[in-house]
Amino acid sequence: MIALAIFSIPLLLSLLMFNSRSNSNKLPILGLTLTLFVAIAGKVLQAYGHAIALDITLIDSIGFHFSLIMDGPAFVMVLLTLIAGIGILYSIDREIPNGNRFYAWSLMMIAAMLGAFMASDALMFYLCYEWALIPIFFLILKWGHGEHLAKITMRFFLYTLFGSLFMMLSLLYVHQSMVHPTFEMNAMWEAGKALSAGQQGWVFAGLFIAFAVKMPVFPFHSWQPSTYDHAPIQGTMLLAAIMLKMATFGLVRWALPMVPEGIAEHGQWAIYLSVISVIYASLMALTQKRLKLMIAYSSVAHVGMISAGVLSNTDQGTVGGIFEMFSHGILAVAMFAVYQMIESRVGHDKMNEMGGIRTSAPTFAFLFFILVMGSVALPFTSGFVGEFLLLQGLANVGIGMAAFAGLSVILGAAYMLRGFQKMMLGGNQTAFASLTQKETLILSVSVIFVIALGIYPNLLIQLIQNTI
Amino acid sequence: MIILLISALLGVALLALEIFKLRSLMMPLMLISFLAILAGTAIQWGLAENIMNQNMIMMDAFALKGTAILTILATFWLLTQNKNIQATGNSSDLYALIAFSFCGALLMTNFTNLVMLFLAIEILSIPLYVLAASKRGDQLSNESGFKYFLLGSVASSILLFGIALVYGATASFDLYTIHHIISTQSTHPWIMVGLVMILTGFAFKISAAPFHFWAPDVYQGAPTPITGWMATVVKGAAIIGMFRLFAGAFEGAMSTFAGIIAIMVTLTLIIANGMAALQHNVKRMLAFSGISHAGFLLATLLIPGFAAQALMFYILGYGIASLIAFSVMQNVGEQIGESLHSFEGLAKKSPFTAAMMTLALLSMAGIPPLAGFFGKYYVISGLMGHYTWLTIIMVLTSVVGMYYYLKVIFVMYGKSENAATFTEEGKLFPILGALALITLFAFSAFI
Repeated sequence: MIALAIFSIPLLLSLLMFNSRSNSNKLPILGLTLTLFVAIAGKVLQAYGHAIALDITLIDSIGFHFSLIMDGPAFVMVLLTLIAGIGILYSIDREIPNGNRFYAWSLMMIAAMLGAFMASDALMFYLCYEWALIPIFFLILKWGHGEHLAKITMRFFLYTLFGSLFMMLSLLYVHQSMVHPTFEMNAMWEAGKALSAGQQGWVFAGLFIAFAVKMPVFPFHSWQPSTYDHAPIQGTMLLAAIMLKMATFGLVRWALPMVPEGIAEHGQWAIYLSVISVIYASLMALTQKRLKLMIAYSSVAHVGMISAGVLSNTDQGTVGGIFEMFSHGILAVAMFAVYQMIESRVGHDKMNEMGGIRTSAPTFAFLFFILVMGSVALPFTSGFVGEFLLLQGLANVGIGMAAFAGLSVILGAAYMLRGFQKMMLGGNQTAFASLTQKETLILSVSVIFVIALGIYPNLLIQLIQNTI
Repeated sequence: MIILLISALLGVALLALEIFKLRSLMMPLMLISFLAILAGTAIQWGLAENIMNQNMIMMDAFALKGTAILTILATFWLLTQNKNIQATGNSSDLYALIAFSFCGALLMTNFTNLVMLFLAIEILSIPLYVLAASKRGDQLSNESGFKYFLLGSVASSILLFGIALVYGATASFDLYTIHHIISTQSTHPWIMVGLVMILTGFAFKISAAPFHFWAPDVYQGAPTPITGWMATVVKGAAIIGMFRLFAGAFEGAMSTFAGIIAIMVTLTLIIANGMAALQHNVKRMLAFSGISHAGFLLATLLIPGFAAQALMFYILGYGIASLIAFSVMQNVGEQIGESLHSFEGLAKKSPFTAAMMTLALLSMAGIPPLAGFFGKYYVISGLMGHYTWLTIIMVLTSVVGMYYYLKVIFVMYGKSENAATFTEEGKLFPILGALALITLFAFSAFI
């Protein structure tokens, strides 16, 4: 029942917001906070032996269940969704036209993503995965900006949809191979494992195309920079912090346990693509002149790393992947919040035309620096733990591969520090009003997360390994 | 039997009402008749035995399901289009013709004899030739009726020729006798030729490629309410009839035909989706999209063991979505125009209509959790493992489909405003449709 509550509070609130005239973000934030408390309380209760999973048969003939679980990985992703969701809604710094609908769509998207993370039924996962597209579609179309918005939104929507249809084919292929077809998670895993390695390879290919488009991984990334650029900033945060995690989480939850042999024997290409993606995106980030695009490409690099590490199919890879998903989610919200703070004060985000912000806003520069360190994966930040575990996992596949992917840490340091230096240090003085209380709060909380998880990663790792 | 009688008497009664100048009673009478038919199917649903009449028709489970679905669609059609039909001024003729065509549609679900099949098709089609041309002053409507009549009669004659050849080879019109002969004896070459001709005739009726060329012109030219009727009830009835015939009589010969049908499905999906993506007229786009759905409907024949469930669900999901789309189309088309530009800024002027249209289009595009998704799901999952290549084509063409449905949604929610003069009407029934669309999937277990 608690799992159902976590899923339905945002959803009901979303429906409420559609019909309300309120333009304030208080109610949505309150609702998400409540959901967060419910989730944590649920997990505590679960530790004391209280069952919180849910299983309702929807369509018996095809074995379709509305079933939610809260094992370790799911719980971590739920935490991320809610914490990042609160941060995203809290970070809104201006009046939004038709705000009630904006919040309603955001909440609906969050509900869909919560459903995808908690789903223990393959069809339910697929439904939520697709459903999350519709809210973000409207968010970008109605609140985005730029000349070719319609074209960009269309490309984004069609591209991701195109990918996920292949996931459906893969899931159906596994589903129809059973004697008594059901979409239940364990049964799907068993049925997937029973396929021959060649078949598993094809099933994996379908799954990976879907996830690769969503993450995105080179060469399926072409929708991403322009979409991130033209979406409203909160939409970009939703995309980068939470939505793409559905894809990496999908790898952990569905691809790895279902088709392990297929990945091991026929899935090397996916690891190669992910590693190429890491290097390619890092190099692209290095050449960007605008902060937002740099953050967008750095996101591609991080996700490529997650994908490569997870696909190594080792314990370190899986744990590191989920850890990095959480860490990257928090960092993505914070980084785009930084972008928003700079953009709203300076009026643009061209890094070359800024400089010396540190002199006028030292607190901001300090907090931003720690976030940069987290993004670069310096030891004692959350980024380090994640990347380290991922690289360790990847080293099991091939030490050369790990070394190659490890270049991204160096490249990451190069572009991040270069950007930081251009904007914050240097000769010309950009006027910069000091942070408001709200902005300080957002950045400080993110910084606390980054450092706390960097110093004591066991906090999260134990949660991830909790398999109830 | 009583169901067929109700539907036949309905047409006569509607004509009589006109004579006695009781036009206001027509709509209630139709509604009551439809509900009575639904009640009739519900009563027979539980009965174990199949009720046979003179070896001509049989009310088995398949027929009852088909009848129920067509009646639901007809009821929805009536509720959404009543106002438009009344506005034409000759509603009694139109309604009577609709009632007759509906009678033919019901007959398509329960024939057990090739003669009955041919009768059903003709009863279904002949009123439509008139209906398509019912906007008398309009050139396009006349063209539509004429084209439909000429090509439709050619298709009917090919079908009839096919039936004759099958009769020549088996000496029987009875589906079960034919089934027995085909599955036990070596097939006579005439049966094969006859089957190809029957397949061609049906492909024409459901507008599957390469026999689809009439459909865009006819759909575009016919008055929109009639287009809505043709695209839903008529197409549904035709495919149900085809399914009944092939599953009932020609099952033994399916292995020979599966290839032809698979190629037809592929062609239909590719051509229809490709053409629809190029259209600027929304009504014509909907016509092409209707053809592409015919591809999915036809594909249900390929599912091993003939998955009637997939067929029925697809017809219902697609039918309700297109009824909503055509009724919005009718309102917008009448007040502003049929081109894509006419929909510009509809959302601002009339958010409700735009939302309904969006929902209908998303369902047709197959976005979960709408009914259209589950329709496609049943077809694709049925074919998976047997025609895996076809499912990949289905998925790829679905993406193209998404593109042209989204184009309309984009325009409706875009910045420019052509639809500023639009006034919306009839709130209640589209919302019922929308609810049905969303909740349908929960009931798919029962179909």
